[in-house]
Amino acid sequence: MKALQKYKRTYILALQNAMEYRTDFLMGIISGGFIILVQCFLWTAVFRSSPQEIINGYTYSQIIIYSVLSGVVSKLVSAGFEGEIANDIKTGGLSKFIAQPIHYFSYRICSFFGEKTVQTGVVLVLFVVLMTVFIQIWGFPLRVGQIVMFLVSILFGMLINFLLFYSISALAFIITEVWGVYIAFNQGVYLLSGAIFPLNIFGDTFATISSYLPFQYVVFFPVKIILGSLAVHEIVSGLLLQAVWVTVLLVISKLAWDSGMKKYVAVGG
Amino acid sequence: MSIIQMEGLSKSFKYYEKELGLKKSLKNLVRRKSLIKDAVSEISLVIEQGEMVGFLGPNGSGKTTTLKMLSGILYPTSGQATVLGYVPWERKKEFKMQFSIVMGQKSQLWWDLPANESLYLNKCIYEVEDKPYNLVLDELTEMLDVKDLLNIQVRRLSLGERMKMELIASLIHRPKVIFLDEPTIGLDLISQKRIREFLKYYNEQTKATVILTSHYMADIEDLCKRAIIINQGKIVYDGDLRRVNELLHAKKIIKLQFTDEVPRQALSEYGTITQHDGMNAVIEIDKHDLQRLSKMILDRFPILDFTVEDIPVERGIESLYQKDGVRHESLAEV
Repeated sequence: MKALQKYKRTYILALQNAMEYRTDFLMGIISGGFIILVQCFLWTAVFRSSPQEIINGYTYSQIIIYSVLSGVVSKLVSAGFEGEIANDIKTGGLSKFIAQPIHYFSYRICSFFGEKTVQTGVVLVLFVVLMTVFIQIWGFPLRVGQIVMFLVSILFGMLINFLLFYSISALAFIITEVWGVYIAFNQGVYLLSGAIFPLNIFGDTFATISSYLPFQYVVFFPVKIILGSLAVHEIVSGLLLQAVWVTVLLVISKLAWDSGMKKYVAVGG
Repeated sequence: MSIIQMEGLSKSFKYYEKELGLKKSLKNLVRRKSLIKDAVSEISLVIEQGEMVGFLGPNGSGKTTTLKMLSGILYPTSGQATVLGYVPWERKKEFKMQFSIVMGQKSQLWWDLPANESLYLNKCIYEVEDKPYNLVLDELTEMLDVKDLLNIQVRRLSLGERMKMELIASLIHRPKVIFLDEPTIGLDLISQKRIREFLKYYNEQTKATVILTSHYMADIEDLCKRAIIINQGKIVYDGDLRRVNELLHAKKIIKLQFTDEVPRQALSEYGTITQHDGMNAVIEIDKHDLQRLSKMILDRFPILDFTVEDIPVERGIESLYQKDGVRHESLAEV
């Protein structure tokens, strides 16, 4: 009980810290809004110039809703701590976690969720507003069960994304200047998670490959739940696969960090 | 009871060398020459409970590396050590709960939040109960005079104030062993003094064992009965700092002031001249010859003032810093 106190406290501190940086997050949302806007214009143009009502299995309203929601969800699950970790490793800040009775992984995940709590609050408000608008315009059907599943899948998506970035952060033990790798990885996840376009747009081969990867469970899968394009059994098996990926990535990150820690050279002096 | 024991503790680092120039850079892409540096070699020490020991040494001498091994942050290349009966690099929780390391150049406080938030986090990390926490906090903030600063964002504090907070943060759980790496670095003289007084008092009150490293002689001279001078990863001196010179040479300094100008050559037969400008001179002589030589000097030259002094501790340490303790007089002559 006492031991849990420290992680609860870390969570609260990260939450407070995130509130200090609320403007920063708002700006992030606004900048994300531009990308969504561009996507909406693009899809409008595509549908206008095409005689078909359905493109790649999506109607106009579905694709617009997808673009907006994927933008919001990808913002919500984004990691953003990988730079801090690299800095801890490079400049020796990690040392204090070795000397104190606190686990770095638990510390990181608590502060990740602490930060995400504030963002989730903002995003939920945004989500309600957006969904109301969509329902008004297109008479879009939405069930309570869908929303619950959606929220659960987002929680899993956050975990998967956290573990992906936590694992890749361990590269900083080997590579001192790890920024290039981070940027490449970030862009890769952005594309493969379906944050830009729905994954089936890229064709069947691509869809098959990405079904074996964890990335689509970060954005693509949660948004599909809301769109109503999945049957109940598909949603359940998707959630189970998310849980499997969380377990697999836990093991991977543990291995990566254990071998990294052996290499760790505390800098300075 | 000895709290800290080290036996042949060594640490070497691998590093890469690159010579100047683009051509060499290209060569380095293919093959890098790797070199080994012995940061700490064969250090053996025993430190008793309640001792306050100072590690003194130039940059890169291995002070911090030693502290990092003792706190379990680094694995040694060879050798053994125990702190409080634990092997530090096994990183046991019971061990971590009983010691503390403060690195002057690295902050453990949350930058954007008030210090008391970070202090409270440490309370939770070290699983301290509310009551003892409040007691310790009251006592420490009182002693360091930072009670009013607890609610201010850490980034708005001055360097000295922040250092005080760092110290408080590391003492919340009443550690039995405290490692302080450059606790006074970058501070002004008054802040340095405040922190020194605090450390002294704390050590006396709690009987905690303290090891501190510093560049500042005054830190060690003031606080530690026992100083350990490290150079190039080896212990070159272990004992009372004020007695460093006894180990070196039995020398004295004579400071002279003349009424008339005295040429340099006339003085050179008495000893080593370390300063000379015609009207004043400083000469270093052997202790045994003191009586004989000073009589001769007094008789021969137009003396206005004459003083005999010990060689300053800094000089003694300086010569210990030289490789293999080789004496180093040319510097003083410049």
